[in-house]
Amino acid sequence: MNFFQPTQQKSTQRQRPQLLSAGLLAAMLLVSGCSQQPHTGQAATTKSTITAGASASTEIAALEADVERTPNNAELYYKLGLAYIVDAEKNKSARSRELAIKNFRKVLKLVPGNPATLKLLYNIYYEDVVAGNEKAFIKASNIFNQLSAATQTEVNAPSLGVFLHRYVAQNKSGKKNLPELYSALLAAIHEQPASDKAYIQLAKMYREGNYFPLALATLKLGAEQIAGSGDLYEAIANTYEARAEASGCRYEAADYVGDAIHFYQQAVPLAPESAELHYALARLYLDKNLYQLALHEASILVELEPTAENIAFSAQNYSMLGKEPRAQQLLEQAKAQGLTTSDSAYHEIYMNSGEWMKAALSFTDYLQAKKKISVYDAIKADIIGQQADLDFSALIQKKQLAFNSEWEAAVYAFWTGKLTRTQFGQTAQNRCERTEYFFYSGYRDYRAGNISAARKNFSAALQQNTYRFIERPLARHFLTGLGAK
Amino acid sequence: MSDFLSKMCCLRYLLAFSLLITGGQVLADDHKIEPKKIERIAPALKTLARSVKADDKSEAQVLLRKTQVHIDEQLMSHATSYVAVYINSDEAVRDYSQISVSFNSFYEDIALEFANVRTPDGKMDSIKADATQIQSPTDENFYHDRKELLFSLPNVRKGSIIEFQYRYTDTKKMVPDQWFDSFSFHWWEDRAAGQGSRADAIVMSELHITAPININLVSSDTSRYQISEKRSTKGAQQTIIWTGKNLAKIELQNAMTREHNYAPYLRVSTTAKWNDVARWADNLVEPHLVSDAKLDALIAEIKKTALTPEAKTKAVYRAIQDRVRYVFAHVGRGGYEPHDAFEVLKNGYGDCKDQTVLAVMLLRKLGIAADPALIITRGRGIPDMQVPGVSFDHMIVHIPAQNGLPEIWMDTTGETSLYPGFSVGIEGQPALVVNNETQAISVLPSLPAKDHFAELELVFDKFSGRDAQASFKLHFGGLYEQRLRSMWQYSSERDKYFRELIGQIYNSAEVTELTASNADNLWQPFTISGRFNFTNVWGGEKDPINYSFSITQLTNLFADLRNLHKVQDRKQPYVVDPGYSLRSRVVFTSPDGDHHLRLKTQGENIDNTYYTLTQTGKQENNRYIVTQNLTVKAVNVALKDYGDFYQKTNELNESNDWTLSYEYNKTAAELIALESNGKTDVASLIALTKLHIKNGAYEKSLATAQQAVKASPQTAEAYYVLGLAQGYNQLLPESDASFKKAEALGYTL
Repeated sequence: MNFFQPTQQKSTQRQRPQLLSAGLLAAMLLVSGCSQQPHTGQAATTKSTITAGASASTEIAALEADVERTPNNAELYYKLGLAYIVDAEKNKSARSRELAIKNFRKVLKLVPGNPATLKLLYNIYYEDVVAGNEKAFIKASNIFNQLSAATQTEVNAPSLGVFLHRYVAQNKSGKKNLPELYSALLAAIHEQPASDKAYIQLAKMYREGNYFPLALATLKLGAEQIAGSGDLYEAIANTYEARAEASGCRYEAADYVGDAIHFYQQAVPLAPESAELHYALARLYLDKNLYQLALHEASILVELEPTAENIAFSAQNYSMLGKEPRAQQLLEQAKAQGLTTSDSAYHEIYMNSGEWMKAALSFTDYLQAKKKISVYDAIKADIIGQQADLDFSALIQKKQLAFNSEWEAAVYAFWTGKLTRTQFGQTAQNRCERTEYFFYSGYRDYRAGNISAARKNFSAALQQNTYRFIERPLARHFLTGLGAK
Repeated sequence: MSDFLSKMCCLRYLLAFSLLITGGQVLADDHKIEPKKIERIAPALKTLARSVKADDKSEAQVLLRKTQVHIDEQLMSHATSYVAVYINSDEAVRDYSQISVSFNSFYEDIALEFANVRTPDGKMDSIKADATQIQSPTDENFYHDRKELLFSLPNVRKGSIIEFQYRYTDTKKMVPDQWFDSFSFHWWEDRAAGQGSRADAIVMSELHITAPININLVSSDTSRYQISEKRSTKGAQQTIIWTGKNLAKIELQNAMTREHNYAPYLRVSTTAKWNDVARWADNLVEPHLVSDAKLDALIAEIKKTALTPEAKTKAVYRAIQDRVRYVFAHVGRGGYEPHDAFEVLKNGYGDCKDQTVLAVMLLRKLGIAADPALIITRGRGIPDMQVPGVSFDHMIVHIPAQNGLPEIWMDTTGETSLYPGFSVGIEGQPALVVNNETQAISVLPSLPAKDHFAELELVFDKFSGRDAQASFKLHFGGLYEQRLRSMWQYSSERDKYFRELIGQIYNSAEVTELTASNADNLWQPFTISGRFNFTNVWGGEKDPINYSFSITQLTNLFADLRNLHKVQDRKQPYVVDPGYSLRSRVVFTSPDGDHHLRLKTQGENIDNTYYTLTQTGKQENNRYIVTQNLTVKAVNVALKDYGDFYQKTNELNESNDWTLSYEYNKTAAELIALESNGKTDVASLIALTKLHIKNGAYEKSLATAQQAVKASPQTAEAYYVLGLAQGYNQLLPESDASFKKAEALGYTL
């Protein structure tokens, strides 16, 4: 239930690390040279030679001639392999790719176990695995098993390549086969137990299937194997948070929220520069009404990443807590950082403080920036319009209204008079839904001049302790306007 | 004249030098060249140079090679040979500046008639009087009658044309009442600094043989070489002319066929019957099969202890090995006639025919049929044997199958060789059994690839600090047994040499012990054993120990598969002859009970036209045993198939290694402990389930988790591990239910 919550935009601003690096070639070129070569040469020399101005074919011809002259010089074969792989990437040449493999294999014959060459060769085969070459899997596995434990952690397990291939193929064909994906990830875990990638991906898939316990158990199994993986702790915390959310109302799953906080805290020392962790902690502390801690985490977030969105997030927190001056101050900072008026923080902070005209202006920008609107956007349009004495109906009618749940449909039905108050009340099953039930009922009473009922319902909305619901500061605003009784 | 009994000549190509004929006076003493008496058999060089368009792209080109042979009524011959060569490279200048022509001084004389150089500017320069000599070849430490006419040409430069003419004259008959010889249509020239030979392209090569019309001359078929044959008669003389034009340069490369079919070659004889040669040889041998008291005593001594044919044969072999040292010495005897058998025993030395005569004498006196056999050894290749002649260079004993004894070809000349001395040097080669009944050439048997083998047993058996040790034992058969035994016997610093040699199996290791066995044993094959020491290969305690082994570690030492010509450079068919086997059994041992096997890569099996490689690996307690068996098949790869052979060889060279490690594995150690303790309590089953999951044994984990729940239905953790096991076996709803049950029983998820 993410309506009215100022967190929506955050979920996409930081991406999880990708399993497959887009720059395979670049990665390969960055590896060190042949450390075990009999003819010692500096890795830097190797790189500079390959990236020098000479064309690939000239480079290759010169190296082929060198190899002909000194057929037992491993470093020359290594350079030649690199030159061929550059050519293969540049010209999409399968022949050059084959020759790269041949030359790298020659290096391994001359200097068995050379780590840089093994890694290069592995990356080539891994790329083939991702491309769906079944024969490459055995070759990749053979090389992978020869990598040192440390190097193994620097690459993806062969079965991760299989997973990626299957995942892409299934997406392309539209034919989902989850067991096939699970199997590949389990195989990857077995191949590479010291890497957290497959654990995290597998748990993510279980989580998406709402198998939260299995996802958690998988991640904890990974954490037992891999000491000090911040990503694993963060994934566990994510899963607890998602589990709390999936319960219908996170405020009724306080234990999961507490667990999520615990694991985010575990992750922080392992990734002290991760703004994302502090962002998550700020949200969760607010959920637990530990607002000082929440504000502190938000301040760290802003310190680490002083972006317009993060400053606005901090401003919204202050606004929800009724600390309007600080909220306004931060909003100004966010504006200076480039926050646009179409950002929800604008109108929500002005709504919370009752500055309806300002709220109306920024809400107009907000609406105009959106193609689809939610039920709550439509309700906001009515409330802001009523409070600012403006009419958003013409603008709203141009937008497509999206319903994300039966509850949202019920909210809209009540708001538009198609559902009675009693029916609406019977639909509300948890504190989150009841927060909305009481607020919207109270607002209807408020508009009808039924002050006593309005006061009662706004108070009931506050008593649900759903601390990050925007209905909460709004209820407080209207209650204040009605005066204490 | 072909060298007879010049044992084990190294280059088969030398046979081609042994062409030609007899005649003339040796110049060595007076170095005088008397132009007035010389009849030039070729046009003037100036004329020749004009009539032939030299190939500017070739390094050298033989403009004319011409030989005229005259045979008289007594079957004595003299021959004149002329050669003119256009020199067109610095390399050819070096090679052709000094010319050598070999001959057998017991049967023939040789004389250089003239030698000139036509410089690029048309000037003629003749050989200096002191620039010729007759010498014994310096490359062999044997006593024999083969000599060389050696002369140096003046002022040879690129663009020069050299010419020379020499003359052979028979001085004695080799085989009474017969005449035979062999000829090459190319001119085979030694390369400078002993770098083999060259046979450049020929513009024209001619052989004329003139003989009385009543002499029957048989010759080998030259039509396959595009050599024309023309016969004519004039009065009482017949003349046969063989002519070859525009003959290609012969590219000599390694691993060529033993047969002489890569170059035009001709054999001519006055007989078509091998029996004539066999009877001649028998007449030479039989008179020397004579005994004396000492020899009789030896026979009596053998009779006392050796009762069976096999025992008698072995006793003869031993007696000769013990009592007669092999010495190559037939100077002044022409190389054909042996000493008396008793004399060989008395002297205590003898060459191959001497030893053979003694062995045949002993065997016959012991009641075992045996004959001498004339052999053309591997070093001479395999000439076309359709036309009889005497081109043998070795003699051994042939014992036909009899009385339970299989056919045996016995060669006593090796220094304490494994009985019966049959070696790769004679395997598959032509043989003429010397007796009056022999009508045809025999071919000596060839051993199968499995009998020419090197086999390595390697056992990693000691760990000390950061070091590891392995014991090794090398067994050999066939050509490997013969060569390595011989190397051991003759190497001056054999211990050092063999340590370095065997060290190539593992470059990173040091051979710390080395022992050879049976080096002098006539009955047991030669073996080598010892130890490798690997330093700083293991960190000890919980560090893994990594092992690897590849078939290439054997092929690099015992084969030569890495230096093949590139496909575009190969000009001749490639011959693997004989086939052979390389085998290994390598035992990789865990340093202790807590280190467990992790097999990383396995060697692959290969089976194609050229190679069969079978590899197995199996785990046995705390060790992993790899066996490899590579058969390199005996093949004659046609040039058109060489690319395929090259590719398949590369595939073999690049094939997967065996790589494995023994890694300290707490999980595996605990798993083994748990599985072996037989406990079925819930705690053990939960622990076992977790270990199975860690090891990726998900099916097993499900079984033990179900047992855990069954053993204790109220234990929350049992449901927790069941949830995990079910999830990893794709039973997701069941997994969810089990987790819920675990939570319901108090497990905190």
